[in-house]
Amino acid sequence: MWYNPNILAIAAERISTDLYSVISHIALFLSLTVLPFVMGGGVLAVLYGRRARELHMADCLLTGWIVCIGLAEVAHLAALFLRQSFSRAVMLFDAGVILTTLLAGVLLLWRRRAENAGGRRARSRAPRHWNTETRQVVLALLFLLFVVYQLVTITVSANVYRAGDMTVETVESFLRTDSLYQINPMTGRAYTEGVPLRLRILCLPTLYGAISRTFGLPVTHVVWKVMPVTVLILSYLAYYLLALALFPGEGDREKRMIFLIFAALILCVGDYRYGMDGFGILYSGFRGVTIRNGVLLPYTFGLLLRRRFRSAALCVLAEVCIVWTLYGAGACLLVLAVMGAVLLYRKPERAGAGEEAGT
Amino acid sequence: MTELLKNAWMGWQDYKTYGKLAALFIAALFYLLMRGEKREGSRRFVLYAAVMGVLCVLPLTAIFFMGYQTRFYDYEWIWSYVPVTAVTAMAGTCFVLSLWRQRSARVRDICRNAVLTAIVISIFFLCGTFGSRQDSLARERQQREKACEILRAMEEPGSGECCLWAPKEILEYARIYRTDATLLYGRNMWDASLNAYSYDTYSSAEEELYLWMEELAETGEWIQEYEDEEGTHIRDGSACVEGALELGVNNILLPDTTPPEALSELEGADWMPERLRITRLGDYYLLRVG
Repeated sequence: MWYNPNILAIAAERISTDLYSVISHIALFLSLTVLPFVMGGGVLAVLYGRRARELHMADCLLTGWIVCIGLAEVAHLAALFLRQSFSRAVMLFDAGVILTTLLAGVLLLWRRRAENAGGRRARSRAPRHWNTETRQVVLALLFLLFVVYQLVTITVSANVYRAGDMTVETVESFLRTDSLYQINPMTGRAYTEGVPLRLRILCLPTLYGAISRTFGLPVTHVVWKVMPVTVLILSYLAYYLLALALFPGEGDREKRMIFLIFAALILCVGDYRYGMDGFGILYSGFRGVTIRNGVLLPYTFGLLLRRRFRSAALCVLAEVCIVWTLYGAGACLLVLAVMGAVLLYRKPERAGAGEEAGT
Repeated sequence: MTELLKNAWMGWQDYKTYGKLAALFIAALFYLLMRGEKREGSRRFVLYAAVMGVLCVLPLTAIFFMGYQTRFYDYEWIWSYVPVTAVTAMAGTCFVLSLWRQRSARVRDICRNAVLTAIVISIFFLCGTFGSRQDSLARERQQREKACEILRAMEEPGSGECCLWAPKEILEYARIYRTDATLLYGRNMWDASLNAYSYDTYSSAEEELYLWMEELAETGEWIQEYEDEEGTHIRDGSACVEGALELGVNNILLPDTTPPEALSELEGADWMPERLRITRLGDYYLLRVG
């Protein structure tokens, strides 16, 4: 009686389903890291030329994600205004990502070959002491502890704050109708009055829908788990780059790690209220405002402190694609303007100061 | 203008009441300003944070920021312009390092450093509320899972289009777990902030049905009496169900607080379609037509 003739079929089905899930998650992980990394590297090479070598790997990944947002916006607007189906938008987005990655990859390889032909420069590293290294390992473990807590909160607890948000419903309506904003996501019925243009131009639902469709994952999984985890990681990369700008010295590695620990701690304990950075990162990492506050703004600060104004301009554009702004004037633009002014302001030199210094 | 100023001031009062990260940020700013950063970039970053922080607290400038961020966002979002997390983390880093005895491998010094660091970290913990929202969100998750179970159980192959009317704890998740279903009204009926996403509005009949359903779920009253400026009115359950059917609803979930005699009355009503089925589904009664 224990033998079920269908057991093999059931097991095969289960294994194939699990295998498919594992493969799609591996493909997803690679796509969310490798492709943006290559794209970002290429874009930075175009923006900064040889000076792009001075930038960090995290810059490549963050820039790559900004490029992804840009590509999603292009696909979204094309489908919206040319009245194309959602499938077309997904195809356009996927093609854009692949093409940009290929172009960026070719550019980076060409650059690398040119550099190699010119002779490699050996990197010098400061000698380290055992005591310092041990301390850094302890600090890294402490940081990881906070990150693991946050990852568990996002993935296992799956506590999502949904008030005032309808991302999942919107993406589901895109996938179900294979069109953009044809039905009201709240009721599933056709719109009677329509959608405000300020909402229609934002690309996050298309981005999430494209990820869901491309990798065959449920929308809730993409929106409530995959994206918040991605945003959490991107946020720490942005904070790391900010730490690099605040503590740039070769001997400041420890300071940067402590800075990250405190940032992680603040994000953990600051989850008490909607609008706080920690709350957004832990409970609504998929929202545009969270991406802005958790990733784009810290990255913008880091870029400005490192005088990378072109990349900061990309952050401004990315914000316009994901958050309601005052006709394109968002938080990143204000930060760029004010912080840029603060950084570029030079105190007028006192008359004779040079002479005094020379004496 | 007075109203705007009041909103901005109340926004700040509200912002600093919950948790004490705002207070920690101010303390961090004072510490960094008093300490004096050596690096030009860091000094200007702190200066920027201080100036923007003050501008966010002052009602007059806060109004400007609130206007700039558009009226779709509340007061707390103007603090996006201020690098609160970064400046507080920076101050924490500098403070901890100033307490440490550097380049010492003695066990005593290592323990001293560890204890001082733990004290600073605990101050941070006390200023926030670690995991305070977890409980309420976990309750919401349980409700979500329960709603998902009910909505999946409602699925019937070949039953055709489903237009659903149910209490809000079910409708809240209906468009996520039953994407094929249309709803009499959606989440924006009770979450007003969602109305910013669409120009569509609900008719007074739909609003009445919502009020009746929620009152039924809460009190179990089939016939409800309510008052407004025009006098006393009655919402009759049978009339509400009839009205919902007229609006195209073919699946109704009634809460288990529904009086059994009301269900019998519905079954016998002459306006009720013949193919009505009433079944028990968890804590609800499912009325399916067709």
